[in-house]
Order: sequence, then structure tokens, then C-alpha cells
Amino acid sequence: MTDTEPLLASLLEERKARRGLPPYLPQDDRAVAALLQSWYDAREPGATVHDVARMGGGASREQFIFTLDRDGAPARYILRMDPTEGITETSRAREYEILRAFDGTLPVPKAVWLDIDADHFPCPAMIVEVVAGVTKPTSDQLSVTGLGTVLGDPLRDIVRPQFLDHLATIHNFDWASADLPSFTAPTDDPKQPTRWLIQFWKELLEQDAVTKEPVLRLATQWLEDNVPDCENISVVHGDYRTGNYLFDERDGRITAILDWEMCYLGDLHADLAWAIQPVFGSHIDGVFRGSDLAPPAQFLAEYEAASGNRVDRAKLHYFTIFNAWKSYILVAALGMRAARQAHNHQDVLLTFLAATGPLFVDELARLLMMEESQ
Amino acid sequence: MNPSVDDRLNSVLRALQSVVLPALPESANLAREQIMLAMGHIQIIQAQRDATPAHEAGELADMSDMAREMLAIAGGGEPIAAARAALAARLADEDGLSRDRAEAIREAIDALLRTAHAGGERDYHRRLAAAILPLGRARAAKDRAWFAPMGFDSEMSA
Repeated sequence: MTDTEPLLASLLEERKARRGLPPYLPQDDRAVAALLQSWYDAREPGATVHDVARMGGGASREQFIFTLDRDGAPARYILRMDPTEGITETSRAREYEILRAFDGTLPVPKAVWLDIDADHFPCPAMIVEVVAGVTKPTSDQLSVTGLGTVLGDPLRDIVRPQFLDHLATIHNFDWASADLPSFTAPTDDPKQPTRWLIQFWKELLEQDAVTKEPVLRLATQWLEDNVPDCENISVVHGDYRTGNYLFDERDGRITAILDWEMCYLGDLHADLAWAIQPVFGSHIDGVFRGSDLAPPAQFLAEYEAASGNRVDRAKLHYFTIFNAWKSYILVAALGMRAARQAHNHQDVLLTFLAATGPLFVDELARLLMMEESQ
Repeated sequence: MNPSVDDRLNSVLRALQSVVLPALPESANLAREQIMLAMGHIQIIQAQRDATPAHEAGELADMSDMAREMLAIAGGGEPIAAARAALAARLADEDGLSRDRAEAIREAIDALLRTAHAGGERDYHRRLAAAILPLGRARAAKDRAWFAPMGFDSEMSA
């Protein structure tokens, strides 16, 4: 077993068994509608499901939006289901628990039902309430949210303080008092949080790599050799960036923080380095803005002010390397392997996204050369 | 050649754009998105088609250069000697497609890096890394330029 969180170690073993499964076929829309109705028949008799529609976007889960009518009071929900493989390897139970833990503290979609063992739906599934808002200005025609999204003026100055306040709330959250049974706190020694993290992603790379990229091997070895201590264990969102929150386009208010599936307990610097990664930012008139919100120095200074947490530049550098490595693993290993095995409903998107792989190899080589020169 | 590759790909694009896409209801979000992505893929593949053999040959040349640089660095014990010999053998093997040969060299490079790291050959490993990283970066720059039409690389389009 991999030296990582126990639940994640189990996931890594389970996914090996899925490797030989036949091609994944997208769920039939009418069958999903029938499954949703029978789910609610057993739990909320009298409630009726209608207007079931498949959602676009995303690169890991199959998603359906639907209306649930209870005594004439309609409400909209989203069903999220796992294909055989995807661009991430995550647990619906952990996502469900963390959404419920932050409900009332942060704007998050309310998680209402979970079918973790696929007892009813054909694969693990979760149902969440729909939250109004957009992930990008409607004038932005890019199809993959978050990559190259430009909020622009004045929106970015309205969104940025909320974005940083919410990140501060996540990092300062009292996870020890929360109901998070699927999470294990890495408290054995100061290096365990990040050692667990590295071993989890390394095992994914070993299982899924479609090419033996030398720079990735060097990065893996560097990350293993230089694991920093983590003095304060935080909730780490794992994918905190523009594109992964909803906002009201009329006033710029963030209405929901999304995509918690890669959440874990560890070093908060991972989130900071992620949000200011080049691939999630904008280059306009020679100015780079992380998540199109602010240049990195401003972003970090405002985070420190909002959170009271000091940013350790050495750790930020470590997690900058980690995030480029993790990003490559997501798009060029997991995504490509899922597409090659025909184990996802979005193979054509996954092979498109894999083209970002060289960007991360370039970044890793640049960062490791800086290390070599010191 | 009649029909040419371009004739055939253009006809596929036209069928997707003028027949399949309009036949999909507005509510078919995923299907519409995937048709658009499929068309994008085909258009980029079409634009890269003539340059693809040279790109793959260039990749093989770059991986071969990296292998030669690594083999020029002396050091290590018996396990490393075996990994070096395997890399040299891959480099000398001229059978197969360029892309397959490039991957075979990558695998042998990977094995040598793992052996050097696991064996605690720190100085030797450091010298290997110093040789690989600039070459890896130069290769990545070519691949970034190759995939720039996909539109994800904000630095390339800045």
C-alpha cells in the first residue's frame, strides 16, 4: 500500500482493478431520469423529478441538472457521477463531507445526498443544490473554464477580496472539530502531510504515465528529497482558482466555491501556489495576474492581511514545483490514460487538455534549473 | 491521390458543422461541446499534418542528444553500468517509427535516473540532472509551440 492517507491508499488500489474494464459508455439521459425518480421515491415519497438535462463542461464527472418538485415547490439540483476513470482520482465521500462541513461558513453548494457505493446509481454519485452564478463572464467564449479566463475591470477588484477572504476561511477552518470521517490528519511527524501528498500523486503518475518524461522523473525525485515541514495543518482546497467559483455577474458577489474533490489536510502553501500558477492566470499588457485577480506579490500580501497567515517563500517555491508536477499528472497522465482506455465520457476533451503537458514540463525544468544553480 | 487527405478531413468537418451540429438540440450541451472540440482537433491536426513527420523526427533527435549527454557522464557502480548499457543499446537501435524509438529512449533514461537516485549516487545524479534539464526545457519549448494552436498557453499567445 502507498504511504498516504488510508482512504486514498485504498482508492489507489481500487483503481488498478478498474483498469481492465471495458470502455465507459455515457449514462443514458432517460435512464438517469428514471434512477433519480426512484431514488426520491424511496426517500421523499411524492416528490417528482423532471427537466433532467445533461450538463456540459468539467473534465472528470458526468453531471445532470434536474428539478425536484415537492408539493408544488420546485428546486434545482445537480447529480454528479464518476465515470470509470477521469482527470482526477477522488472520493465522493470526502467531497460530500467537506461541502457539509463548510455549509453555513462559506458559500458552497449544499450537498444533500450521497450514493458512495453505487447501490442505486450505476457509479458513485452525489446530489447537490444548484447555486446561481457564472464561472466566467458570459462574454468569454472559452469552453474550458478557468484556463485563460479574464474577469477584467472592474470585476477583478470586486472578486479578489472575496476570493482571498474565502481562502483565508478555508485555511483557518477548525477541521479537528468538524465531522470529516473520510479524512485522516497527518500528525505523526511534521513531514507527513506533504510526504503523504507526494506519495499519492507519485503513485498516480506511476500507474498512469503514457510517456516516461525525464523532467517529470527529476521533479518527482526532487519533491521526495525536499519535503518541507508543515507546522500547521490546514484544510487545502486543492483546486482553488478562477473558474472554480460562481459569481453573480451583476454585482460580482461570489455565490459558491466549487470543485472541492481534491481537498485534503495539509500545507496551505499548496493552494496559494496553485491560484497563481501561470496556466490559470492572464497575461495582459505585460502584466501577469494569478487567476486574473492580481500579480503574485499583491495577491500574497493581500492573502496575508486577510488570513493572518505568513507566507513562507521557500514553501511557496516547493509547492510551485509540486503544482506544476501535479498539473502534468492530471492532464498528461490521468487524463491521457483515461482517454486511451476509453474510460471517460469526455475523451475528446481529455486529449485536448493533455496538450498543456509541455507547459508544465517547461515550468518544471525552469524551476529545477533554478535549484541546480543554487 | 484522389480524394486527398484534406478532401476527406474537410468533408468530415463540413458534415459535423453543417449537418450534425444543427441537428442537435440546444439542450444537448455535452454533445454540442464535443462536436466543437472534435472539429477543433481535426482542424489543428490538419494544420500540423505536413509538419508531423519532422516534428516526430525532431523529438527523436532531441531524446538521442539527451541520451548521448547522459552517457558522456561517467560514474556510478554496477547497477548504473547496467542501466547505462541499456540506454546505449536503445540509442543504437534504429528500428521502428521515430515516435516509438523516442519513447524507448525515454524509458531507458528513466531507468538510469531511477537507478542513480535509488543507489544514492548523489553527485552522479546531480550531473545527470544538470545535463537533462536544459535539454528537457528546450524540448518542452518546441512542444509548447507545437500545441500553441490549442489555445491554452497564455504565455505563448501573450
